[in-house]
Amino acid sequence: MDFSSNIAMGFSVVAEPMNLFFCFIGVLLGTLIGVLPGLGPGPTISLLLPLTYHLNPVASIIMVAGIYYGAKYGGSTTSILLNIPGEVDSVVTCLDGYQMARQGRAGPALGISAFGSFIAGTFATLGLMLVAPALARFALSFGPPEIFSLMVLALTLITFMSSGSQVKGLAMATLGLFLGSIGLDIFANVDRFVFGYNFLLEGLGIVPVIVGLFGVGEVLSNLEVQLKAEIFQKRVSHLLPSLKDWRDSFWPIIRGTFIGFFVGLIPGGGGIASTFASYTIEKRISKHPERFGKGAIEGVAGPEAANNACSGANFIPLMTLGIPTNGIMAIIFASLLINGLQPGPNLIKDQSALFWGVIASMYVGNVMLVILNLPLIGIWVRFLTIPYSVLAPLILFFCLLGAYTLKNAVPDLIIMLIFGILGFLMRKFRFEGAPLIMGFVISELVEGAFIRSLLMSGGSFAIFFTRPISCTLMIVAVILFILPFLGKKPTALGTSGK
Amino acid sequence: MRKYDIVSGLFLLAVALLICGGSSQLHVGTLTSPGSGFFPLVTGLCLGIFSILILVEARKLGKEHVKFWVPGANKKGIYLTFLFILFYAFLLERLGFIGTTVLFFLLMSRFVSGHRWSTAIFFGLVTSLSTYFVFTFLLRAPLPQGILERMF
Repeated sequence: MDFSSNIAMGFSVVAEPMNLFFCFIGVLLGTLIGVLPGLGPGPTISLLLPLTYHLNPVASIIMVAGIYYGAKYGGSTTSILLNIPGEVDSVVTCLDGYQMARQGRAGPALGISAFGSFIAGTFATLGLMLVAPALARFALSFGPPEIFSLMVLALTLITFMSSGSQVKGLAMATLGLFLGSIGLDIFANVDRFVFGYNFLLEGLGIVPVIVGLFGVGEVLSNLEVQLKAEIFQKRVSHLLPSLKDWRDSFWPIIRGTFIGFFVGLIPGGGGIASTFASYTIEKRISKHPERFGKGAIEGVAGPEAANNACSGANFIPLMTLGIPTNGIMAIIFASLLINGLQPGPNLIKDQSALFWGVIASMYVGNVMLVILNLPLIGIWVRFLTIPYSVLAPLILFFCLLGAYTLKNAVPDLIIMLIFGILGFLMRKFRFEGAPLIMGFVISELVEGAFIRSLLMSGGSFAIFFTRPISCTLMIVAVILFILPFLGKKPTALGTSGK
Repeated sequence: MRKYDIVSGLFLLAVALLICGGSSQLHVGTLTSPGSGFFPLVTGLCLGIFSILILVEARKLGKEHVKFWVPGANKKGIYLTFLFILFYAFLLERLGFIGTTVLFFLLMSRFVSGHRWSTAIFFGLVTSLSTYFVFTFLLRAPLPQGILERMF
């Protein structure tokens, strides 16, 4: 099938009423959780994982993707009106967005943020459409050593780009790999670390682990500080940016789109890294850098575009190589697995309707988001007044429901609680959850590739260094591992899964 | 953070030792023929190395005094939440979905969020009944039955 027929197929998939409905539900939920501080896309998607099990795979992945990129749109609303990022990637938007709101220009700030996000989101979808199939074809030539080296590189990258200590990140990734190996051994059919508990034979379960770590852990952390928010400008008007606003924002949006897209391709390159990069560049090349931090519209337009382009690009490594680039992508990876789909180079070939349907849904979803975020902004502003004391029991209830309903097993609730406490303690001890989840979800793949490589080579580790692609990937991983010890680790960057 | 990094480093080292010990109880095999304990053993060894590196890194940190709890932390709320989740897990298949959920909302809304009894009861009833109907009648996913569920 050629390119145009693939796209036509994608749009025919998304035009099915059920898929269109779940696309709308996804972007609506995404906007809602983006708007509500204290509830990010990671916990929300993890809460909905069991629900996706009951839907058809195409509809569920369309919905999950919608939540992810929808949250990016919604996150800016809280940043601009409350000076609190609705989700972590929108933190940069606070700098100038909130200052614009203080000057009575919340409308243009929200407007340019939505239009910038739309342009960037549409471009990123186009990029995904063009790059992904070619990359997947290339990845089809990968054998077990290349897959193993790629996974090692992905884990090293995600910890390298994280805001905290790389060693802590690697320790979490390794712990995740171990936790993923609990249960029946895929090769020998022998149980491992089950201690006589039959419910552990199938492993710890993706849903209770993710829901605990991200959902319960986040609620416990938020309960400790008791989030309170005050809206600066409750009535928002004049959402359409003026001609001058457009003139000031046009190039920042274009630059932000390119920065976001390329950062999003790198494992660990979360939205926050792209927004910081965009903001720094805009400030550096501006003729009036002194305006930044005091309500410069470029400081909203560029980072918001970068953030949305990044979210589209994040799907490329996931769909083509089977690599989740951050914590939320790891959860989306899990939702594909729950639906019986294996992310990787064969996904586009074997599940072309799903792949092209999800891409087409992103175009449709971006249009829906502009409509949701501009004319309906007044409704979202009202949601900002919901206190966290009302949200906390609801979120916890959905965590419990999510963990229980997948297998209707009470032990899953206990696993969820244990990982909830672990998530809370990890935040206290400055460990990130994203590497652990990533290690956990790719554990089976890593073990399979590792064991097969050793069997192929007769027990020699040299196989990872004698094949050109594998060797290149390993060398990059080793360099990234060594760099922090030489004091070369970037410090202003962070992972979006935080 | 130095103290916390030392504590977490030591904890992870202990976990790594347990993983290595547990793996060696399984069939580890050889490089040419890896057994079921091989991969967990490798992860345990790597975790051990990283935990030692965390301890080494911690030694370089200054003695910055960071308190575990933020000032005015809602510790009671956290402990109670933990307890109520345990209650939920214990009661769910004994009391049924609706009863346990109403009780959970009641306890959470009253004792953690500080809402009035009437709000807490209303909140719990609406959420549990609507969820029960969605899962039972729309998604056809059964939820644990109690006295209340048998009425429908």
